Amino acid sequence: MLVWLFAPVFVKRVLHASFFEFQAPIEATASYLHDLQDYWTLRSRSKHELIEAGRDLARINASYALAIQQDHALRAELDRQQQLLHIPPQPGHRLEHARVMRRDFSAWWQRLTVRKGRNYGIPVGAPVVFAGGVVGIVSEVHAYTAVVDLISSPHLRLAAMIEGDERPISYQGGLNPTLAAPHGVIEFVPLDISPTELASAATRNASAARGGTPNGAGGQSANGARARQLLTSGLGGIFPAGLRIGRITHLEPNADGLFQSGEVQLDARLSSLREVTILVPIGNDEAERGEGERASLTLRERKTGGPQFTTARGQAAANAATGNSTAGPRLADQSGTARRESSSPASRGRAASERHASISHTSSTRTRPNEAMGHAR
Amino acid sequence: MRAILALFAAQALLCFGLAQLNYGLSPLHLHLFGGGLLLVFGALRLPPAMGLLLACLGGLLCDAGSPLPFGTQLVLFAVAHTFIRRARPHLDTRHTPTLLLVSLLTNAALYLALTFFLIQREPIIARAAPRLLLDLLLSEGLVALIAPWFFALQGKLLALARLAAGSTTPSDTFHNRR
Repeated sequence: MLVWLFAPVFVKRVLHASFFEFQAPIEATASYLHDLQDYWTLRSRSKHELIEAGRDLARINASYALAIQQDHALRAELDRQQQLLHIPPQPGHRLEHARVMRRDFSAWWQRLTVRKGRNYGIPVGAPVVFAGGVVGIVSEVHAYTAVVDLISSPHLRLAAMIEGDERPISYQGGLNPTLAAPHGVIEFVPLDISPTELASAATRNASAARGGTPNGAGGQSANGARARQLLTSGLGGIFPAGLRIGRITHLEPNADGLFQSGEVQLDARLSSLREVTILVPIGNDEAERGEGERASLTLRERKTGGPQFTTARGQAAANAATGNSTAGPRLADQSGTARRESSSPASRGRAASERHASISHTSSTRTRPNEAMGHAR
Repeated sequence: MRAILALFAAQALLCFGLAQLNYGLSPLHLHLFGGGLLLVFGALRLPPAMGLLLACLGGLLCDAGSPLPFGTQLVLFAVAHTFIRRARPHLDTRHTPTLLLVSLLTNAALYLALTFFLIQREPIIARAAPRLLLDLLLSEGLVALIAPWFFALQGKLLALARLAAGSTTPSDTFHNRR
């Protein structure tokens, strides 16, 4: 024991990496075998079932395509407003879809291991999301794998906010009862906030038409009261603001009478995730590329006697270097290319359509096709 | 050395099997812990140094996949190994039910030690006491089910390693060695 206590840190790190990487290929192989099993299970299905499933997916894709177009229009408007008000743009993210190869869900911790790591540029601390909202944060990155701490883990805390209110509150995971959805704990909730809100008539009608929301996400009761959603606040710079964490189940005042505490029910699908999406901050990639391009820009400036932006990327790198937001906002789309926004409507429309075309390849170019499917079992 | 490697392979197989089982049980929010199985055979059937080395290797294997400070389970396994070694003269180590009983007690002790250690770091874990208890009971059930098979596997691997090394020393000399 004493030998271990006084062992050098690098020895411990080497041993840690060695023992982890020793197990990783075995678990990755098991994960690939699971995928193969799913493939042959699908092969056994009838063509009629597959055609129907494809038809359903086509309808969903059509609605997502419409949502993407609306998102583009909103982003274009947001960028225009930022340019007018000289507000620096929000940092963008690159999407990396990763397959889950190990789930370690004990009462002590809740972790996933995914099949992408340093080989895909995943940084430690990157946020991880899925279709239902927040999954967690990347806590370890290895050569070909990464470990994600789930939001249901007791070791994870977030600054969150309640839907419709901008005041920050504290969220911590840790309540994971058997055979039930995971829960988290919220603290420092202002006294004037209730766990439910009366839904508007339009919301009630939409919810009734849908036949209820999946996994109780809406949590609407018969009298129209809807459980309030807990969202990420964007504070701390890890998660973008507005991502769904869960729904508040109850609140009660603290003993000191200053704040309330309560519980949040997380998405039940967290415990059966097969694929997640890692949001890699684009600043990480551009900081590395910008160093090389700044050097080449400087050389061109010396030769020609002034800055010449031969490429949009070069211009973006120069803007990043000078921190000059008045030169035009950087639109960081998901392929990691920054473009300069111009003010004429025709060019804004062109830029929007170009972004749509580039965002149709929503994952990194290194993502394999079979890893681009997102679903939970 | 061959014996250590063979038994380490058995430990890795057990860890892999437990990981796959926990992967399948995760939608039900169940988790099985089998750390006690990793060190009992080495503590009761091998010389002290070899048994301690095997326990440490098992601890490092568990540490690599956990968020605990690296070496925590290594220390716990080493302490457990020491306690088992002290009790070894009073036990019939050739008797499989004895090994099974020691495994159950060791597994429960390691589980509780880890739980108390983690509750000190994050007190909110204590609120999951019903789940902790259920996981412990299921883990003990799993250990009771697979321990005889796992000890037989380790015994076979040890015999093969000795054969490969060309050793003519009978296996009885390993038993009850002080």
